[in-house]
Amino acid sequence: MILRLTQQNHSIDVELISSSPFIIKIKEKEYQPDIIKISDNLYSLILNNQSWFLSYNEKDNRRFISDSKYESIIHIQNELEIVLSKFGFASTEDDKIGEIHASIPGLITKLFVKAGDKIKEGHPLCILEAMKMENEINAPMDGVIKSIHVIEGNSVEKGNIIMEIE
Amino acid sequence: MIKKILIANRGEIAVRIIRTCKEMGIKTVAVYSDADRISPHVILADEAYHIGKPPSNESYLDVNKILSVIKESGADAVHPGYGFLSENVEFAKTIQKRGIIWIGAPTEAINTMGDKVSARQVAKNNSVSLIPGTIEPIQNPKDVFPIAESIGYPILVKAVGGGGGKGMRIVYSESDLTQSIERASSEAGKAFSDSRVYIEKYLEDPHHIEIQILSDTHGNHISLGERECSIQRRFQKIIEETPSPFIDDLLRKELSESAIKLAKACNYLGAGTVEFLVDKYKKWYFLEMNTRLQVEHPITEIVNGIDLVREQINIADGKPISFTQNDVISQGHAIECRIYAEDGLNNFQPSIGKIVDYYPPSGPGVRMDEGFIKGQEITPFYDPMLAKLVVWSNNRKEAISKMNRVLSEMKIVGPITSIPICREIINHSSFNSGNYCTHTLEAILPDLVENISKEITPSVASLILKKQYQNQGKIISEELSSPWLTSGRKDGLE
Repeated sequence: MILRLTQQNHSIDVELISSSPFIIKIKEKEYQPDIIKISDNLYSLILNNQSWFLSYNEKDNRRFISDSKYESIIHIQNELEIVLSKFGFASTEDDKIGEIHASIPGLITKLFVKAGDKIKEGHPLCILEAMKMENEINAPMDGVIKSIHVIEGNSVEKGNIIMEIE
Repeated sequence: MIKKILIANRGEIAVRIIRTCKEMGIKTVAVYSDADRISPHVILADEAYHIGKPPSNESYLDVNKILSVIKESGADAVHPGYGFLSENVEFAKTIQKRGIIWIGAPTEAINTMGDKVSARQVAKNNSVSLIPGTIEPIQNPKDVFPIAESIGYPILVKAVGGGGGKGMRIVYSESDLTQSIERASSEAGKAFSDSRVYIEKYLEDPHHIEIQILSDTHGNHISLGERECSIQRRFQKIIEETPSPFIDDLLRKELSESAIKLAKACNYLGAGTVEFLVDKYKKWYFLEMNTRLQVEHPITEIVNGIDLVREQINIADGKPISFTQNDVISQGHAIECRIYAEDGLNNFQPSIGKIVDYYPPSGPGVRMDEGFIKGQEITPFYDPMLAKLVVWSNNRKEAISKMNRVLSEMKIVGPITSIPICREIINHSSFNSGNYCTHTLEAILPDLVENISKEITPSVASLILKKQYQNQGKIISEELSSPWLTSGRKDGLE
């Protein structure tokens, strides 16, 4: 098993050599860390007598790991994704143009348009209220409102589709 | 004598108030919405009353429900905390008519100072300097164009009844003015039931310095020194410290005197804060007065060795402040980091979800005012602040080292929090040198994102690989074996 870990523009490949004992290889060097789970998401790790206290969190395909020195935010790719990216295929599909997604979780407090409306780029579409701040979402392009997937008062999760523009 | 206090609030401030009440031998009454059944304020209070659905206006802002809990519980006083009903004059008047003690500012003072337009008028009458702008709220956005032109862009559109960055917009050019006024006005209408806005000059490189005051019914007005609150994002404070690394004794004295002058002018009672903007030439302007206990009050408590909530309760009970101005001798240095459920390194996006794990900070000189508990769901209904982490040390340098140590020790897993960005800010040269203003955070944000570890350590890589391997292992074991075996296998792997 090989994973590619990426943080900012920095990537490393890490390979599982053995699961028991747990041995991994990074850049031709083998490591045998002692990893103990303390509670649900907290870990104690001892590697070459260096002690690390780590928390592990997964969110939106990012891994947040905090230790005593750093905060790391890491994207991972598995072997298949590494192969695909080698041939120039992106592993995740980009949002379709014209789909308006919620960039943050919140409440749709106002809709300025209805299906069938012709709009210009920059036209206000709706207000997404999160933590009491009003965020106006504007049209990214000229077009016609094809469909609206929410009504005023709906709460949306991050990434939910709000409407489509053609 | 106050015997039982209803805390008309939630989260960390409700917990903080409950703690002092218990130390004073006063019974505590918590109120909670559906979303807060397992919030610590409910767990720690002596009594807890359900008041409705998660949206604030169906629970924490529902005056009638809170009034009926006051009656049912037999509370003889109400502490409103900050936000929610803390500056709601109608509520304060209603409970006082019923003989209940209001542990908040006098309603006249809330009216005068809570309304930014009349507050500016009071400052003007008392020769306290003001930032150039409109004194009157904007009636017609069209009338504002010539005024904005004469003040000079950028200008700030602000809510008359506002606070906390809501109902506020910076306008850099004429073309954005109308829309900004509309947005600010609408936000303000919803947040404070008052959609009036006004404009003022947006100062470049200002410091946000505020003075904590206490006033009692015996005519005493005391200044407890300043708090430096210039590390802000979207006009919301994230790190505060005292003393300010920027101001000197002379300026501290001037600001304290002005703050007390304003407290006297509005016949203030209880704990209040007078906020100033100080430019880089140390020229200062009155910004606003907050007629309530503030979020960042603990740093003042720590350097002065006092409990502001205890003073508030005693003042409301008719007692004098327990010390005099001459007793106020600030010692050492305190820093507060606000722990928000938001991703500071990703445009401060709010982050909700369950607190799945928590390792609390501790050690000498550490104070944690937290409003959450492991297992609790963080919802989008309320302010995203989870906790306030405060440290105290002999001097600023030691306090920074301590904060750095504490931030690296504490862990919150679940929502993304502001812990990483606080760590980066604390370690940034501009914070370290004490050379920062309210625009600094925005300016150094790209640095902070860049600074976030450029290396992936073998320890981090090991943990990710192990977790990933386990995730795959779990799927296989569920297909092949009984729950008992799965559980045994899971434990074996972990």
